[in-house]
Amino acid sequence: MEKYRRLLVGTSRRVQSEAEPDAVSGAHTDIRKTNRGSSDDGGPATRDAAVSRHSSGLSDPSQWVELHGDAMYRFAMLRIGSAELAEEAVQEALLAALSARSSFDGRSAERTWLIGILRFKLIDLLRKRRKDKQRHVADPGNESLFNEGSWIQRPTAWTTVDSKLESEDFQRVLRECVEALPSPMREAFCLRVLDEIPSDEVCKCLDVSPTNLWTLVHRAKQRLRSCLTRKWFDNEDDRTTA
Amino acid sequence: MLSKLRYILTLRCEEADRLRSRQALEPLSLAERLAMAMHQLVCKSCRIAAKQIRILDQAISRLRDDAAPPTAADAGGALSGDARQRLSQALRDAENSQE
Repeated sequence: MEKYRRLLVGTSRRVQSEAEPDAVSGAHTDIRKTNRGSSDDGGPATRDAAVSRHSSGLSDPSQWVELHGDAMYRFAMLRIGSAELAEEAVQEALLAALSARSSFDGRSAERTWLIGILRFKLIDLLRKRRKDKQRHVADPGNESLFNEGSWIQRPTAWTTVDSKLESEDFQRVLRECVEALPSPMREAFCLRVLDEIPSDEVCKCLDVSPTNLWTLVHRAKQRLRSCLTRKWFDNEDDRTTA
Repeated sequence: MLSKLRYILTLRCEEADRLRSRQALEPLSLAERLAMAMHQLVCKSCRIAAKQIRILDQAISRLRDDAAPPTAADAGGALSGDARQRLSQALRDAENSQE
């Protein structure tokens, strides 16, 4: 219980680097326990939540969907790519947050705290989904940008103004490119690069070998680079004239 | 020693690309860093690719911290009205059962 609190209150990225290797898996098992506790009535989480109702510093849970629903959904969609699963993850995260309100200590923003819980729920869902399918070793495929060690198509320079790279537009195109990554490349990229989850955890979650994980991440970045070239930089002239 | 020198001097674009990717996840050895730097010194395509990777990494870290509310133009980035209601209802139910 104590470990689970510690995991939930901090920003998850920092926590993950400090925590012992099995901390991530430990965290969701505990979240599940908490859920059960609240429906059993009288579990430790129920009592804790009732006691700290006034001291939590969180907004009213009935506001959560309004305040953070879209951001949480967007966070989940990017990583899981299915509206149905994303909604499921958001719901599970909100319910877990509800029963874990007492563990919120105000050190992080409310949204950061909720997103942290959502992150664990997503890993949980991805892992479950992987288990449902028959066990298979993800094949990173054989595509290559190279022939005998040299570029098949040489990269062309991205000509752009730096300020444009910080625009909402550019981020949207990048998000589209991430969403277009095939599974399990997308999951590998999101968990390892975006969420900075340690490799051994990601390997367990996706059921891939460390070498395969690395190849998946490498390919994902290559694809993102060519996707951005295609979708953003090659069209930039249209964009400025439009 | 000789094999390392050979590695540094004969690095090809494909291996340089792999090193660039690995660099983001783990520290490279001295020979690897030297090989990559020297290769990029003479190879324009890899210099371009390296710059693109840098831009990509910056964009990724912005995406990582992205928990801001979506803009109106952001299709697919918002909950549908139905989903919103389902979620609110689930929260209300759970809250009531706690009391």
